[in-house]
Amino acid sequence: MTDDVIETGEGNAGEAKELDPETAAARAEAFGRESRRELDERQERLRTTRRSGGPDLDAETEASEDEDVPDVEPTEPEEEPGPEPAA
Amino acid sequence: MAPVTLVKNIALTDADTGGQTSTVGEPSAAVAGDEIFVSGNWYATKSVDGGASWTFVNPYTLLPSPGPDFCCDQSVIYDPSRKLFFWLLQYVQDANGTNVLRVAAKKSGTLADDSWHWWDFSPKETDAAWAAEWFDYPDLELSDNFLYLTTNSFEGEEWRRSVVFRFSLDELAATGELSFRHWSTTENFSLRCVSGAADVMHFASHNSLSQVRLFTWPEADDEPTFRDVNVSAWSAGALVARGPDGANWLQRGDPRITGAWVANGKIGLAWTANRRGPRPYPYVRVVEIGDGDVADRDIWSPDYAYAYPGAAPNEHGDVGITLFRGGNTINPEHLVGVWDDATETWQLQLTAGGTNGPADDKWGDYLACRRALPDASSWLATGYTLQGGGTRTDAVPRIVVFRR
Repeated sequence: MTDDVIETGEGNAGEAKELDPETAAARAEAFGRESRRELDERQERLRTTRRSGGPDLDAETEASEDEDVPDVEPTEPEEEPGPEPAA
Repeated sequence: MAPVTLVKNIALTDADTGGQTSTVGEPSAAVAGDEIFVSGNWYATKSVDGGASWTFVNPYTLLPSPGPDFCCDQSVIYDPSRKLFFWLLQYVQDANGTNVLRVAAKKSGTLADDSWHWWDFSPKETDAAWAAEWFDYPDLELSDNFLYLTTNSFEGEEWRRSVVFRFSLDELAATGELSFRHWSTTENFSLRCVSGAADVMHFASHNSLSQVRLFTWPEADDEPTFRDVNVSAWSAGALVARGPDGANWLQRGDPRITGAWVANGKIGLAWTANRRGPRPYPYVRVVEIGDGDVADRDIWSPDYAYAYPGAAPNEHGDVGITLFRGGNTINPEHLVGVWDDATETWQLQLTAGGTNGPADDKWGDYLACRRALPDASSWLATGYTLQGGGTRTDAVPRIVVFRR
């Protein structure tokens, strides 16, 4: 790793901002929930693939013919779901 | 070895989450005794009675916006040393294409009210040369005296760097002026800090399909060092694990490291790898790195995929894990588990099945596994499934406390 790859520094985020309990309670009451339509639209806008970066691992996969894997046994879970939600 | 025991297995309702759920659930949780704070897309919720009841918290509006609206990618964590809950929120990009990450803090014992202190961080205020960038996929971790915030930084759609911020827990607890150190690389994508760190933080990223870069940042040092570690080869590429309804719940999946821990002097890393050779479905690749050895602890099945691992050690150094499985005859389901040194196997326990896969193939992007403080032996894990349909409103987040 060369020096032009990494960068270090210091910073200061300043004084904390504060939300006091009374204002918080007022805000919680003043602002309701987000609308179902807006959230549905957010869901639609979510990407089907994620942004990525760094080494191109997909290209490395395509170029590789190696199919070896570690000698590890398959993992079988306990199939019974746990207790139901607390009342 | 005793099987995994589910101490609590709590499904959050629409009332608990405000109905503000997504099939890209990203649930995170922090616990301090009976106080539990949970975040996810696109809600937060809290309990002060150990999960018996919950109060919805709206991340869009509880805290005043820094300008643009709340976006997503929340993470929460609890620091027992200073008795602080931390809440990380990502905000959407402004007209200049940049954004803000917010770190909010509040003392345990006060979760019943909604008072918070917070600080905002933008690329431009971190480094003027980053003014056109925006932070994405942030995460939080702790060491004895610092809070770490890792994030990727993009300019438009192009990845520019991965960044680690380090904050003093004492300064955070004082809720005054907050200084920080930052370290970044333009070579390694999506850095992941370990859970369980004491006076040294470790974080990691892939160099290639057969090598990880492991960074070490002692608390006393101003910046980290690194070493490269060879691991058994694995495969990347587009993930496919179609369930019984045809949904490919791994459409968004990728191989970034999502689980990392340090325990008993060894560092564990976990990520979702693609099908390869005799493994017909994507699986969870797990490596445990010692001083001179690397052990493979993969979680795989010939019948379905495993994905999205999150992990943490308890105070005895046992490693707990949370993850999903699905594909073939199984809709996405949630599991937790523990590594058993005696049998050298993962002991996994299903917490909830799912009735559907995501109709739009969108799932992920992470889960959380924490120590279930103050208990030294247990873990708190998040998960979710779909119940009764394949849309975002069918997502049921889950909070699980488990032990071996």
